[in-house]
Amino acid sequence: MSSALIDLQRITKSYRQGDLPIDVLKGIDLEIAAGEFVALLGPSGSGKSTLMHILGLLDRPTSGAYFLDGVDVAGLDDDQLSGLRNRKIGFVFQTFYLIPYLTALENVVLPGLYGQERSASIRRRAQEILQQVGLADRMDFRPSQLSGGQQQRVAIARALLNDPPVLLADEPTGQLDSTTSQEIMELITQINRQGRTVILVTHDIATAACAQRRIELHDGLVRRD
Amino acid sequence: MLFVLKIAIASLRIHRLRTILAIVGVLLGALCLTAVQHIGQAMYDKAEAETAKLGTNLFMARSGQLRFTPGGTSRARREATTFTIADAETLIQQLPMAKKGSPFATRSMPVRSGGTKVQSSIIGVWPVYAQVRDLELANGRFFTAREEEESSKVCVLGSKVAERLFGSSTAALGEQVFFFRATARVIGVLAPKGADIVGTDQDDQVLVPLSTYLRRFANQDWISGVYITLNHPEDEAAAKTAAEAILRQRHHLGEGKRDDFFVMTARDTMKVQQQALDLVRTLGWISSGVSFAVGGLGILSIMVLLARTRRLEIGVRRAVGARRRDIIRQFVFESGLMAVTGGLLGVLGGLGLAALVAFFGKMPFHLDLALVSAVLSGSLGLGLLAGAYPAWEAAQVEVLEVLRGE
Repeated sequence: MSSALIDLQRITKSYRQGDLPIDVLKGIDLEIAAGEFVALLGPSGSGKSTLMHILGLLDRPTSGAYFLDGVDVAGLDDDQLSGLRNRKIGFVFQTFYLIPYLTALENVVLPGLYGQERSASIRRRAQEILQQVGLADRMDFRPSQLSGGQQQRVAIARALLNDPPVLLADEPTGQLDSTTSQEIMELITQINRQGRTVILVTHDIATAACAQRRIELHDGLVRRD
Repeated sequence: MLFVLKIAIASLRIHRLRTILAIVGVLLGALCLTAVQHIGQAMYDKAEAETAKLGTNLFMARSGQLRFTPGGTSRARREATTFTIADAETLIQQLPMAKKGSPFATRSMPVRSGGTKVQSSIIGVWPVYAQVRDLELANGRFFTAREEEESSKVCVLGSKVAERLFGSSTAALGEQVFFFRATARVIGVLAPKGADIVGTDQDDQVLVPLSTYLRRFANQDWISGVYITLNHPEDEAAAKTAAEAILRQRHHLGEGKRDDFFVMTARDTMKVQQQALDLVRTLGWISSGVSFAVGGLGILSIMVLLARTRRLEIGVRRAVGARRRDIIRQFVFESGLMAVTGGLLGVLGGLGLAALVAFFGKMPFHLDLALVSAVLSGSLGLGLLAGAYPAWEAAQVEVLEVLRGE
């Protein structure tokens, strides 16, 4: 066991397509320390999405070990994984995945519903975070009333609600124009400077430039770190 | 909690029409159940109160055969001419459980005073009838044994008859009334009492001495029947059997011949009414059960629909830390919320409806808290049940499937 926040050891992932096994990940060894800003790069089909799902505890590896903050996640059941996701990981997606019939504030509050905290303090914190991402005056707007950049800010606020050590961002600027992309990347960089580990999945070199460390995946293996 | 509620409402609002329909289904079930059972109980109570008013130890043997009207009252039809005063006397004397009794003869006749004429039941009875039927006089007096003996031309008016003919019960005293050509002097007016054992309005009748009735008004020697009070209410069944045996013997009715009389007790009438009410209540149970089931299916269908259209939401919730049981809890909460909303509105509506019916039907109205809580918990149970499968289905959604756009 290492002291790294994230420690992947010989991670493989195979799917079966009919009778054919497809090896998506072929043995990934990776350590990410707390506070790092890592970009996971690679063409589509390189396995970076699958790796991100495993890192985000949304998928389990076929073999290999994954220690998150010292915990071997292989031994955890579905409920425990949910709890870990809730406390340790914030997700930001390319298409935002905001719930359309809830307001910005309600969307941000969601992760708080699955912890132990009282709703009044969750709400207060959600408001603070929305303020930090510059949406103090948009809290009661629905996603459809917000611009793409604003929607992604709401999604980032949601990811930060439970103050997780890891922020996983999957192509966070994929749907945004270049100016907005830059703003979002500045926000993510700022979040990293506050001490949070950020793992950015992207195929865009320019976006990846913000990161201190770049990991290139190719055909299920780490090609360059 | 409030926030969970808010989110549930926001989620249900996107399928507003279906949500409303599902709620309305439960609402109708709850309304139907609450209203029918409360109205049924009110009718029950009213019937019981009326029977109690008669005295539960009253017993009647009557000429002819019994027919029930749809209204729940009963009337003698096809009156026979075979019932005699001797029959009545025999029953009163020979039935060991009999306390007092009075034969009676009755028929509907026009009663006239000056230019005013009303149709009313004229009943010829013995003076003891006042005690047998527990009559109270508002004014004047009842007729005496002597007046019965002498076939005196006197009468006691029911309160409604007195009011219609003379405007008030006091004004009626001492006045003459006409039955066709015959006349009688009003010596008393009864206090209002309500409907009696066979459904006739006791306030809409005129009492005269039996001999006066038979000789002067009807010119007949047969009577309609006899009212008897029993020493103990529990003697009813025995008294009934004994009276039937005596009358069959006296009327020479051989084996296999139908009775030309019937015997009934206050409790019999109540039983008949209660049977009718039980039927109403059973129908109420069935129809509200059907409504409930329809409401439940409505909730089931909308929740299945919601579970399928809200895959994105479920996926996001799972990603941010919701366990499967949190998803189940959320969906079951939503369906429970719909059902309880429907149940609550239905109960309120049903109570309102029942209170209105009771008010206009002059029935006693009692809030049946046990029923209300049963309906509410039934609604909740229905909601939870209908939400169970969709919730389970929702909980099977995998975040990855949603992320991959499956």
